[in-house]
Amino acid sequence: MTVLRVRALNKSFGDLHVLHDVDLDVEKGEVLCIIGPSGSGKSTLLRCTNLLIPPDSGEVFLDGVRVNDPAVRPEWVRQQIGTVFQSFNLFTHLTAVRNVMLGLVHVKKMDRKSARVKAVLELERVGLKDKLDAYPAQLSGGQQQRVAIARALAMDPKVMLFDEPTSALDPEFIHEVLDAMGQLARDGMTMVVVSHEMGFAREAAHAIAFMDHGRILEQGTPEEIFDRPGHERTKAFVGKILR
Amino acid sequence: MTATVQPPLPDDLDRSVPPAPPDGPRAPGRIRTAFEGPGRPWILGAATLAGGAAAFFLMGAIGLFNIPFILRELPQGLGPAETSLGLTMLAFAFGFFLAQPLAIVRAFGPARWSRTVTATSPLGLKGRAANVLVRAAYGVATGYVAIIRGTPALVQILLVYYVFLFTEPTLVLFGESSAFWAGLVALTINTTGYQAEALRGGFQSVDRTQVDAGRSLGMSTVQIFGRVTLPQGLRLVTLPLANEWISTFKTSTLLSYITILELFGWARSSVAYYLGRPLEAFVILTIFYLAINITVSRSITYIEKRRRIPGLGSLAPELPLRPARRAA
Repeated sequence: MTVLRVRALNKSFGDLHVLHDVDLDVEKGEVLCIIGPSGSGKSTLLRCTNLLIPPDSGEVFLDGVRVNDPAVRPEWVRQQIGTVFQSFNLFTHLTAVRNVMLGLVHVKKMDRKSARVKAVLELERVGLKDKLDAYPAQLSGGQQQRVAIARALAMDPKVMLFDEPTSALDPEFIHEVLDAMGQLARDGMTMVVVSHEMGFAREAAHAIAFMDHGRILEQGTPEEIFDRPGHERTKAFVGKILR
Repeated sequence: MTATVQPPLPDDLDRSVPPAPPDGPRAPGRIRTAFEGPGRPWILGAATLAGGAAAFFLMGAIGLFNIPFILRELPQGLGPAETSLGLTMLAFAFGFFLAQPLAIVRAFGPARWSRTVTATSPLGLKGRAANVLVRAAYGVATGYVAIIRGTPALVQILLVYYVFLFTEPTLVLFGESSAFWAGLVALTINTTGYQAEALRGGFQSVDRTQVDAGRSLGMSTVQIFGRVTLPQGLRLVTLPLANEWISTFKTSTLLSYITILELFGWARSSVAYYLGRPLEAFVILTIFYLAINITVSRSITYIEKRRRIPGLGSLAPELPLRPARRAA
């Protein structure tokens, strides 16, 4: 079953054509890694998918429902798509547990008590049971990103989008975030990950897409992309990041 | 390279807890300045106040003014002080609520409107109608702030007073005269403009990533404002708003011009002119205004410290948290 389907997606910022007719299919339980040089449109693709920015043209389907449609509330769409940002974006005025609770209480309309129970559960899953009442500023980058993952997971999303989740982290904290993501992948979560973490891509990803200049140039299994890339630009890029 | 310990820059923050790096012990061998350590800033503040008091008694001793007279007349000012405080507090409170919509419109006006919220169309408005409405509201709010900030408070007060005088000269509401209500309205109009600008700054300082996070969870524009932008923005503007309270309190002296018997009017008419003791009158005023303003600003600092959230607000973000608020 295709959870996320993107067809002929286009996005321009002024004269800058960031996405060119992008097509993407993500099956249920699939982990797709998007790689590519900076400025190739990876982040924009994610932000168009969850409608944080409206696409200029093209179609986004979530579970077969066309979601970039004026009749569909973007809030309803975003609620079903978990997003993890590069810079964590935790609510700085709320403790870890209340960060996770906010969406549950105000979007899912859960009562505070059961929202808290669920939030604690999600934080336990990412190994932060002892940091429930810590504010973001009191947490390390790795811990903050794990809270962010818990916050997105708590909404029971159909698909999780990760926008370079480890590139703002100090090297020592990267593995704990990747471990949490790996666990998530093993649990069968559908994931789209923009990342250059080759270890994670090889181990957890079912498919790799290579993007350049707003187009998906090549898509295949990790072995195909990393070991026998077909496209010249893929070859050059993979050569650079694997070295 | 050997690690060098940088001496901290002196600042005027009340550091009730000595600053320490978040992880690990405090850097050893650091020299404390007079500004640091538990209760230290009080010493400087208290010394300054003591100096003022000493000067006060010295001037009394050389007969420049009559201290027993001052002490005798001081309690007479309690009633007028109540009027001053009441007017200031009411005006400030009304102004706070009236400033919110102005600040929202000014902070998220046409420039940001098109970029962030068109897709969600809050209030059910779409396209052209919404655009026109937002532009109009932005224009009105901007004009209002420009008028308030661009004219003297005294002119605003007199203008409102004469509007009241020519329309409802005999108005009596809750036992207060037309002049009182004119004063309250004028003070409210004034502080609304200034508070709106302070709030606008606060709302605009809230990081865009915070809004993105709220949107990614499926929160609506209104929810994001109420649950994220407002609570964070208010913490950022505690200090500017405290300044504005003090400023409003001092502006309330001008209400004496429209026959309201508040502190300044009382001291000038009763003590300075009627009893013929101008020096004593203004010493009494100094004591009153100083006592009230210091009390207010210390209270706000205290509350701000008690309610501090690490990494947010006008206090140094690296200060350690009180143990009670630490992670359980």
